[in-house]
Amino acid sequence: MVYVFIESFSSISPIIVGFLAICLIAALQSTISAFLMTSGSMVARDLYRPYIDNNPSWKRELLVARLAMLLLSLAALYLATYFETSLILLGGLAISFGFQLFPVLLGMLWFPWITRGGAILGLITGLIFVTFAETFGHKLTGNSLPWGRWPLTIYSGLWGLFFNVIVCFLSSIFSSNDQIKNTEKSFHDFLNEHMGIHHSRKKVKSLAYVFF
Amino acid sequence: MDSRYWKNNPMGGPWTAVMILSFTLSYMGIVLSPTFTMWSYSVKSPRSFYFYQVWGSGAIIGIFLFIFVPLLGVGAHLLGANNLVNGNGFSINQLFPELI
Repeated sequence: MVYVFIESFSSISPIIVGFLAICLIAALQSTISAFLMTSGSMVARDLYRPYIDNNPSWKRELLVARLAMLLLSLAALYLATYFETSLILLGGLAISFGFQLFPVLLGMLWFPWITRGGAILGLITGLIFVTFAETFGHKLTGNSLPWGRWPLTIYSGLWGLFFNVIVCFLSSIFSSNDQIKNTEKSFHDFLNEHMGIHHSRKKVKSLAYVFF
Repeated sequence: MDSRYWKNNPMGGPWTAVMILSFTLSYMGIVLSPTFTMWSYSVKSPRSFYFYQVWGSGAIIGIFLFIFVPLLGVGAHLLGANNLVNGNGFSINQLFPELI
């Protein structure tokens, strides 16, 4: 639609066409660069480093990140060209999937008792429930689920989070042991030691609570 | 509960108050995505990391949504979604009939 809209200006003013095309490319560039950078670093730091090469050189890590970015760009182009319908379905899932990271954030910043295994298990549960509460899940199961899209008019993200939090909290309580507690304590001690707001900015914190 | 309550669309459409609230809460997913955690790593001092992760990212995305979502909404009105705008001759297809 955007391309048609821009093209329709070509008979009136080529300058506006150029200007709008630049706007379109800038919008694409600014969005995709942040997401590709993040994905590339995640592949290099969280997949390549722990599972393939434990002590890679800086150049090698950079190369892996760049290759991951290239592959992801090609995959995105392939999806955008040949699977327009599934692109819309996946786009609808994206925000709900992102929302499932809430217990991970809680564990990272505030609740040291949330374990890594609990967070991962909760995340997987959340993703499954989000998928089954959306059109995508209904298409996958051949419309055989007993509920419709967004059951009880509650959005899929909240359904996912509900089950995610239950599984995450329960499995964190049952899977926690002394070794995990010590690892997490050292991480949270580090956070408490190096972070926290500066004394001169205490007023800003109170202001934030007023707005909240 | 009877499955017909789960399966049927509610009267008047799916956008009930509960739906709007849960949909809005789910928008926290943008702030929680790894991109914004990476963004928070760019803070000048590590002291402010978790305030930035929660309040900074939230405020920035909040401002973006606050500014751009009404603009998108206004765009739909100008494209012909509003009878009042159409009736007064302000929609794009009436102002620029050669375009659409």
